[in-house]
Amino acid sequence: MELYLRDVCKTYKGRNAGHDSTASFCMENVNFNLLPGKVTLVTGCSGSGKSTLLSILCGLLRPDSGKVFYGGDSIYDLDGHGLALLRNAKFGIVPQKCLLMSSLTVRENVMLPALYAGKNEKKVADKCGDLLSCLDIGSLSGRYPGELSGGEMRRVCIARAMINEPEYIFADEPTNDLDENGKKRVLSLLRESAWLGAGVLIVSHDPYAVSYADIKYGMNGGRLL
Amino acid sequence: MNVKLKLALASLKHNTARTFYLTVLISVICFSVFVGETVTSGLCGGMESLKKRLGADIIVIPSGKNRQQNFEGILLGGKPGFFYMPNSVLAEISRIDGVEMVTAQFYLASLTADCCSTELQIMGFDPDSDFIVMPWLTKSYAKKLQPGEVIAGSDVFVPKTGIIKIYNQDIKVVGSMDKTGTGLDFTVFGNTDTVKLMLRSAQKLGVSATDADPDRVVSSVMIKVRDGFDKSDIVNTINRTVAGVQAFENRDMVISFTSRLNHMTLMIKSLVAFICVLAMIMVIFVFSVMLNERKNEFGVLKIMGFTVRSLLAVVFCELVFICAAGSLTGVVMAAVWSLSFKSFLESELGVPFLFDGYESFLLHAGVTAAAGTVLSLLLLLPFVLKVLSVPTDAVMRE
Ligand SMILES: Nc1ncnc2c1ncn2[C@@H]1O[C@H](COP(=O)(O)OP(=O)(O)O)[C@@H](O)[C@H]1O
Ligand SMILES: [Mg+2]
Repeated sequence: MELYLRDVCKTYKGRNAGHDSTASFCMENVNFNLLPGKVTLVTGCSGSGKSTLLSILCGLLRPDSGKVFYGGDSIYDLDGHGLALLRNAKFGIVPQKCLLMSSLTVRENVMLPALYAGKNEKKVADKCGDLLSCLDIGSLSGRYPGELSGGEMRRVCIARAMINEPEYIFADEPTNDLDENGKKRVLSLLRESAWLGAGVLIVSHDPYAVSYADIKYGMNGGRLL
Repeated sequence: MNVKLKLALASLKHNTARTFYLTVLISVICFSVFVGETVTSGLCGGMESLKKRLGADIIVIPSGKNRQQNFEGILLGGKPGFFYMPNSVLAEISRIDGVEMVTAQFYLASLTADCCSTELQIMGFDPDSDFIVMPWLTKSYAKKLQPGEVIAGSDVFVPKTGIIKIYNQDIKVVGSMDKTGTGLDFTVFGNTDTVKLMLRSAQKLGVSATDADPDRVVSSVMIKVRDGFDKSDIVNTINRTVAGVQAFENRDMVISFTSRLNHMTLMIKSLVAFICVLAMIMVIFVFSVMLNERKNEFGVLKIMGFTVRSLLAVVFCELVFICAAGSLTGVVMAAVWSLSFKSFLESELGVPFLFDGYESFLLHAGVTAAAGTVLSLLLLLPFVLKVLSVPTDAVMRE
């Protein structure tokens, strides 16, 4: 199903929003379609609004005005429950900050969204094993997040985002903390999912990602170019 | 297993120290509440039972401040005592208008010496006129007490033979009473004649502190006032006209005990409240630190599509576990403490103390544990709700 933004505006106010209150960040009338089966890359310097765009698109940040449509429904008109279920079933999100459950092992972390969705544990475990070895962290499956490096954590987050075979994958700076080999594996995996039908959004300031993208946007000061 | 329960257990297990601190803090609260409850209810129980046993309207004892202290020592427990006044006061008092019934009592204290089995309070009553002791004594022994026979309070040690030695007299214990929580538990009761016999024997042995002729003295006079007469008037008349005695209303004595009791319970309650407040502040502190550390984890769960209700379920499971474990340990430890210090409380506190029956003790324990669980949950849930309302977007940023 289609996912797109229409006339989305978002303004941040308050003490985090730049140097003074007039210089607050804003995103005006953004229109954007995320296409299934394609890798869409949004680049731009830090602070240009990439993460904001991604958050709005995946149902985590309500825009001030404008709508986000998924399959013809405006997702922010769903209640919190419906939106959460949509995220769980259809979206895979890789946050810019690597967040893992510290009390669960790598394997348990990756499997969690699928088990929460009520999927068969055996099948989920198989899929998890595949993803981990694909990302070259198969040997870490029994470790706790506290025992991982930044790059390893990022790959766990990516595996977790893909465990439910989502329709859309949102990856915020997925190549951060990774070496060349890691970047290659992550980006190829995202590329493959797009070939298999998923709509992939990669938000990154890393030029390395460019060659994996079908569609490229630039972002500057809240504007898509 | 349910994913949410699994998450909750994993978090409890992974953060052992945190789980431990919270559990211990909550158990401290429940421990102090339950111990406080046991002690105060024991004090109140003792008071009630004392009131019931003091069936006189007015009590007359020899004058002097020490006498009153002796008398309280006898009633409240732990301090055997005796004092005497001429038995002529009995006739003087019964002549006063409004006095319906009078009866004299005769007190004696035994010694911890060769002549006696143990240190005891001995209380003699006159079976012909008594209306104080016999109504409840007959519950333990229906027959008439013979000379040389006594009924023992519940805490008096009676050997298998049933014979105790008091001033070299062999005294037969024919029955023993229910527990009252008062000094009466350390007292033996017999006819005045029996007690006089003991006193004479003591005098013969040369160990008696008094050389009064047992036949010419009494220790106290108990009065029942006729309906329609003012008790305080009679007290005043006695204090004015009868020499060498002091009279007071039973009620006044109970009131003075009660105020002392209220003092003690207030102290206990404030101590409990202090401990609880301190522990609660620490619980809240530890808990909010923990929640803050976990803001990110809640964010992760939201990102992967956990509904707020599911998040609540996870935290709730953890909380129920911690609160229930804490409350239960606290109450169990308090119960063990109370039971092991039970006899100490009953005998050494110096005030009437009547332990609740085991049934009500267990009920109390159950209620305290349940209330502890529910209240600590209510205490902590608002913090959970506050943290869950933090926007997810905020935790995603670096
Ligand atoms: N919660 C917030 N409150 C205030 N300002 C914010 C908030 N989140 C982001 N910003 C500001 O919005 C701008 C865009 O942020 P972001 O979308 O994270 O940029 P990017 O991902 O491109 O680096 C930045 O200037 C940032 O400081
Ligand atoms: Mg960003």
